[in-house]
Amino acid sequence: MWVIRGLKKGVLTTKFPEEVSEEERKMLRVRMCPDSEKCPLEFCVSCPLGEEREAEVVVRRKIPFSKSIHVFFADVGSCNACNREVEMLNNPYYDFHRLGIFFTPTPRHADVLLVSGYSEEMVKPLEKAYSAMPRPKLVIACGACAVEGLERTNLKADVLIPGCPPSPLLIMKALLLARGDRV
Amino acid sequence: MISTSVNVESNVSGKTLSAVFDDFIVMIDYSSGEVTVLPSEEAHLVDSRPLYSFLTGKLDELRLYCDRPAFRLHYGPLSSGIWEAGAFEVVSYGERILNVVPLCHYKRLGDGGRELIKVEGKEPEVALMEVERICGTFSASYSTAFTMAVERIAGVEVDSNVKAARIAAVELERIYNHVHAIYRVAVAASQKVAVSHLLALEEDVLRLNFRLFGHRYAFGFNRIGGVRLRDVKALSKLDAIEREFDELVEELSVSKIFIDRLHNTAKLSAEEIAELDAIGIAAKGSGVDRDVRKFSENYPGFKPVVKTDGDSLARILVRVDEVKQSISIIRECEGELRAGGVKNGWDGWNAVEGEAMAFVESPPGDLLMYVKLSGGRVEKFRVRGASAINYLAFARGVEGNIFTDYPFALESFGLSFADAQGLL
Ligand code: SF4
Repeated sequence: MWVIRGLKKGVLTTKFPEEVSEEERKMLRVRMCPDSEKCPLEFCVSCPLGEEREAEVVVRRKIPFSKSIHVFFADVGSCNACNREVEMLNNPYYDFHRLGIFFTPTPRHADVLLVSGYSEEMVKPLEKAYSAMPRPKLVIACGACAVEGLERTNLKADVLIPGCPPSPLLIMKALLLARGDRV
Repeated sequence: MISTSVNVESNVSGKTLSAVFDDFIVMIDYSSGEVTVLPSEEAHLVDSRPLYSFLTGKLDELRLYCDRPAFRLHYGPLSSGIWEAGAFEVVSYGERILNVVPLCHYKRLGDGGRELIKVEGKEPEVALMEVERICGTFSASYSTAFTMAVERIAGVEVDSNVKAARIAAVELERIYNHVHAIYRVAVAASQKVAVSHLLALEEDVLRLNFRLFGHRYAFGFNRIGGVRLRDVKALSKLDAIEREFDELVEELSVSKIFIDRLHNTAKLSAEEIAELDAIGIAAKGSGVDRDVRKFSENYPGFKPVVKTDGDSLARILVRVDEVKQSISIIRECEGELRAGGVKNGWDGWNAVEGEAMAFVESPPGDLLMYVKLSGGRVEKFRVRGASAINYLAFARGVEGNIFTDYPFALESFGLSFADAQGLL
């Protein structure tokens, strides 16, 4: 019986952003590259060899209102790991709906364009999706590829999430910061 | 996992087409594990196969042009229901799907595609970081194939604890990807409660990965000549994961809605598997045991899981049994795992020249990688992910089904466009 299973499991959901457990704190940290010259991606900061430090989400522009936000997710050439971490936000451990963040299947209803990966083949579809969004539209680069890749397009990233891939908790933090929440 | 040196032979009858690259073609015999490499001048031996057309981008040969009024839809990229940069060309006259052609070029590697990933021209240790970012969700398979090929060229024999760590990484990858495929099918069947439980289970495996390898997708754990492990005790979590998985499968198997949607969907016969040169989960669900672990000395006595019905349900049932099989494989090699760096890299690159190929059974099927080293760098790199082959099998399977079956068909194959990057 699903109901009994659910009750037995109890609450899995993180108390983030109000409280952060020890395990979650690790997910909000990045590991710097010990030899950045050799590294393939500048914003990867996920090196198992590297030194740990707090992840820095760069916020250049925020949504000018604090309400629930709708996110259109656009994979434009990722390795699929960033996608998986974004998909993981649906998971009861994170349950991002409780914070008023929702995915929308169309850019026409989106406040935020969350971009992962980069492939030149996808630049046109990406720009088309962006132009279909209503204002004020925010672009979030999710992960090292998108941070670097968006530089090669006509779009400007308003929020940069480092990591390769960034953890679901870090993506959640970035979405809250983009909305102007204090995290 | 097998790796082989490159040899040339021209007998292709009864062999499966495995890859078509710009200057050579690879065939494999899944009963003996024998690999044959043909120069591209011999393409006429295989160019009538549908997979040859698919791998060489001759998509017109796979398209259906019918005389009845029919729609030709471009489904994706950036469409609802396709989470990745990829697309399908679908021909239908309303409800029934007549023809599907997967379009995998959006994620192709190289100029004009995913330009940030560059393997050739780099030192092997650096190239390895690029290789594991080709398909992140199958990264343990990719990095293992690459390290195996390079070690073979260099004549490096790794310790048994390195082998054990790689087996553990590849099998853990299989577990979380199989759980993910079942979750995707449950999403399509609107089994909302099951969806939450399955995603939570996948998260548990990813967290286990993080403790064991220092990365949720095992990036950076593989080194040439070694591996790097963190908290080996994290594997004690496996018991709870297995219990949870068994219980979820039991609950799902009594859900009529779930089973009905999978039963008889995207059916492929063993003959079609042979015709399409399909591999991995697609083949195993249709009674054909194509799994390269059979030929690997690292998997002694390995017997692939096989189901014979050939539908989406059979493919999901292969996954269910493979998760259990992977857990027992990990348990067998658990005692060999040592925390810390095991043989940290290797520095004799300049002296190493040569080429090698390696196969690893990634979650959807076997992955093939070819590496040529010269002057201490990767001179040539070719890769063929399992999805590059099985997207064609999916396309054939879904033909004749109706639109609402589409996600049940697609997700049962567990493919990724990032893994189909080798296509033109
Ligand atoms: S940032 Fe890393 S994880 Fe994300 S798409 Fe790029 S390579 Fe993959």
